[in-house]
Formats: sequence, C-alpha cells, structure tokens
Amino acid sequence: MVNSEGQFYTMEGIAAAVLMVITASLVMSTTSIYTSGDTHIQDMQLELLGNDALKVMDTPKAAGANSTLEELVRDWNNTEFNNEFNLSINEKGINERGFGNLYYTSNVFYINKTGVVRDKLFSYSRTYFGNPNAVRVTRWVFVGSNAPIDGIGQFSDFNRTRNQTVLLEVLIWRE
Amino acid sequence: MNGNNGEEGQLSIDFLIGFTIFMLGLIMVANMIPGLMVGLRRTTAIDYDAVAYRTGAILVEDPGWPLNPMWATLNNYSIQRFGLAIDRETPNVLSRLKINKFFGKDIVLVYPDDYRSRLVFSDYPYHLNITMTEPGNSYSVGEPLPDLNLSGYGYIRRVVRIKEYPYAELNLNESYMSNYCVNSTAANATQNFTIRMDFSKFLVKNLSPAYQFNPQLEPINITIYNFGSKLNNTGNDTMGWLFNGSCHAASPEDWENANLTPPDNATLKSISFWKNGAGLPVPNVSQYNLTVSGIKNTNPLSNLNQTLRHNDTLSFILYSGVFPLDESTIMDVVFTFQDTPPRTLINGTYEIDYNKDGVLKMPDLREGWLEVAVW
Repeated sequence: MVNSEGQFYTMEGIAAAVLMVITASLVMSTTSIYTSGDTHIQDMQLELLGNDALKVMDTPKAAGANSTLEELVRDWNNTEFNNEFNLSINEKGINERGFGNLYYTSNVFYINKTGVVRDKLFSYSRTYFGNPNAVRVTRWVFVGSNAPIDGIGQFSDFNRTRNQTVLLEVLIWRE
Repeated sequence: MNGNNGEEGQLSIDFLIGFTIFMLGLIMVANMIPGLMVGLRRTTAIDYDAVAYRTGAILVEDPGWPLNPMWATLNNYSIQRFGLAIDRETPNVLSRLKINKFFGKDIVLVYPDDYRSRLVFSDYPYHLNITMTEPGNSYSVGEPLPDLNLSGYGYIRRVVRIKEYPYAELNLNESYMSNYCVNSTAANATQNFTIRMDFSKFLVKNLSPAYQFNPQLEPINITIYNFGSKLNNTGNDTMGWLFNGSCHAASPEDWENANLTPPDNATLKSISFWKNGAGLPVPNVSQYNLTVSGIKNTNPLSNLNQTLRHNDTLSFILYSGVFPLDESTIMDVVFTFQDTPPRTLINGTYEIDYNKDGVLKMPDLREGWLEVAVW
C-alpha cells in the first residue's frame, strides 16, 4: 500500500535534527571563550601578589609613622619605590614558576588645578607595550595638599588648594 | 481479515527514516556539548591552585582558633585552626609567636596529620610545603617540592609583615631611674624592685593590634643593666646610710670604717609575679629564660641566688601563655635583692608604658614572604 502518510514523519525528523544542530552551533559559536584552563589562576596569583605588595608597603612599620608607600608617593621617590616593589614581587623563594621575572609599571592619578583628573607615570621596571596578560592593582594614597613634590616640576599642575588622595595604579605582567 | 491486510502493527518505512534522522541529529548535538567546556578543562581533576590559595588566605588573613586563649599558647590537641595573623583586622601582619609555633620551633607539630586537619580541612591526602622567607632566613614545614615538569603543584605566594616581640630595656644609670633608690636600714636587707605592666594601657582601642604589646601573644621580656650605678659603694655620703637608712650610697671609705668590704656585686634572690595584687604561682624552668651576661640561671625563680656584678646585664623572658593575662590585668614582676647589709640601692615600682623613657621597645615590622605549595 503506497500513500503520503509517511512523508510527515520524515519531514518532522529532518526539521527537528536541523533545528537542534543549528541551535547547538549557535550556542557554541556565541558563548565559547577560548582561554587556556589555568589563565584565570595565573591572573589571580599576580593580582594577589600585587595587592599584597602594595598593602604591606602601605602598612606603617611603627605606630604613628607614615607608611612607606605614602612617603614614596609624596616624595615622588620612584627609585626607592622600584627597589621595594620589585623586591616584594620578585623575591625568589621556593617557586619555580617564573615568579622571579615579573615586571610592572605604575601611574598616579590626581586632580589638577582645573579640577580634571590627570595621570603621570610614576615608576616602572620595564616599559609597558600593552601586554595582554597584565593585571591591574590599585591603592589609594593620601598625600595631602603640598605634595607630591619632586623638585623638578613634574607636578606643577597639582591642585594644592585641597588635600588629595591619589590613586596609584600598577600593572604587573610576566615575560 | 480487514482492509489493511493485517499491517497495522508495523511501523512504516517513512517513519523509521524520520526517526533515524532525528536520532542522528540528537547524537550530533550531544557530541558537541562537551566541546563547550574544552576551554575550561584542567589537566587534573583537583584544582591545587585553589587549595593553595585557600590555605595561604587562612594563614595570612586569619588569626586562627581558638582566640582566647590564643591557639599558639595551647598544646596541639587544643588547636582547632591555624592562622598566623595578629588579628583579623590586620591581615598580612603576622605574629612572631604564631610563626614559631606553626613552624614547630616551640611545640612539636607532626606533619602531615596536625597540619592537614587544622589547615587544609580535607579528607583528601594533600601534600604540602609551606615556606616562610625573611631577609637572611628561611624555614618550612612539609615535604620537598615535587618535580614541576612531572606532576606540578598548586602554588600561591603572599607578601607579609612580621611583628617582632616588644621588650623592655632598663638602664639603671639613666636619669629616669634616679628616684628608685633604697630607703632601708641595714636590718632591712631585702629590697624589692617592681616592674609594673598595666595591660589596659597597652591594649588600647585607638592603636592597631599590629603595634600593640599583647601579653597573650608576646613574652614579657625585660633587660636590666648597669647595676654598678646602683651598687652601695659608689656614693659620697657618710656612714649614716648603712645603719639609719638613706637614699645615698655609702662610699668605699664608709664600708672600710665599718670594718666591712665594699661590695662589687649584689644578689638577686628571687623573681615573683603578681596579678592585680595577688601572687601568682612560680613558673617552672621551661616557662622562662633568665640569663645574666649570657649565662643561663636554671635555679628556681623563688631561690635564684644570682650574683650581679657592675657590668652584668640581666635578661629575663617569661614566655607567653604562662599566666592568663588580658586587658584588665595589672602585672607586677618583682625583683627581690637580698644582702646583709644591703648592696643595691634600688627599690620601688617602675611602670612601663608606650613612649615612657624609651624603655619599652617596639621593633619595626619586618618583611617576609609566605609560600604555599600543594600537590
């Protein structure tokens, strides 16, 4: 017996299969972000390390004293900041994971005389060329109204009519 | 027989084709799904980095448990959780006492059992290597690291500051000690010099725990030197002092006139402890360390008979946890000198406080690095 009833089933099957395959392809092509499995962990390690380094530099060594970080930013002492921060992030311990070749660059964000937020390069161990794996850590640093004073006029547009807490931004990456 | 020739129970070939196509499509989609997770898949089943991170966070940011009395003053069976921070409000500032205890310098902790159950909190038999690095010094617990190329391990590194023990340093020759003179007669040969610590003045709320002298976490460490300046043979007073009491020293001539030999030393008879005016039991010899110019005295504190010469430096350390001390405690450490006739010219009570005469020394926070490896 030959009739057209069976056609219905065949077309349904094809339609369902095509729908499923197209849907799955769409889902995969739109939501997949191809990263290596451990990238987020390396980022977390660098971020934690950078935050720790800034935090301990911002912890005064004695009661009533200023923190090292505060003094270094206030005095615009990027040489000493480089020594301390580099030591903090690159101290070699038991690690064998390349924690010993980290590089950083740092900027300070402040308010200038016209009330605009500006930034200046503070200290760096290597020039930053947009390394995609760099992580960013920040710390607010109170510098008051008379600082930073570096003696060569880099902060000539610093708004000295008010106390300021500047934002120190550090980018850290591994090479 | 009916009109369909008995074929009703059979599937039509068209239905089978449609169903087969549907199933093939379903299988293809099912095969695609695991591909979604490729980017997030790890090479091993356990995320060791996460375990290392958690372990590092507990050590660096948590003060441990119990808090009062502090775990570092207890034996291993009473410790519930390790944590090296001074206080939960001061993460990354670690206690020297806790570091010493954790790395097994003062108490015996057994790796791996003591560490797994109080730090990692897992039934999985993780292997650990925890290392503390300070400038010029490094120590660790756990096992040697495995070959990174063969098996790998989870790793985290934390930058920390370490709070060293405060200590009191009394120079008897300084002007702040000029009023602590003896006022006794020859018959009263016992002289008590008391060092008082009022912990309500140390544990003040407006000072971060990172800069406080905390008797729970830190030993009572007292150094006294320049005894020669308080010996009873340096003054220019008359004979009278020896017999009717004075705050001036007898000169060598005075001693000679009294047919006595001027002393070149004094005798420290005992050291005792008082809490809020009540006497405390005598600590046993493992709970303190008494040295005089570097030589240890192991006699009981109640009967020391320690000779102190002109240039001797007395160093006394009462380890933490010997007595229950808190912010309401007023602690007296009494140094009793006993000679007939008296050979020292020191008595009274000297109270130690922050910023008073520079006696209480608070060392700067030191830098350090804590590393945790887990595999």
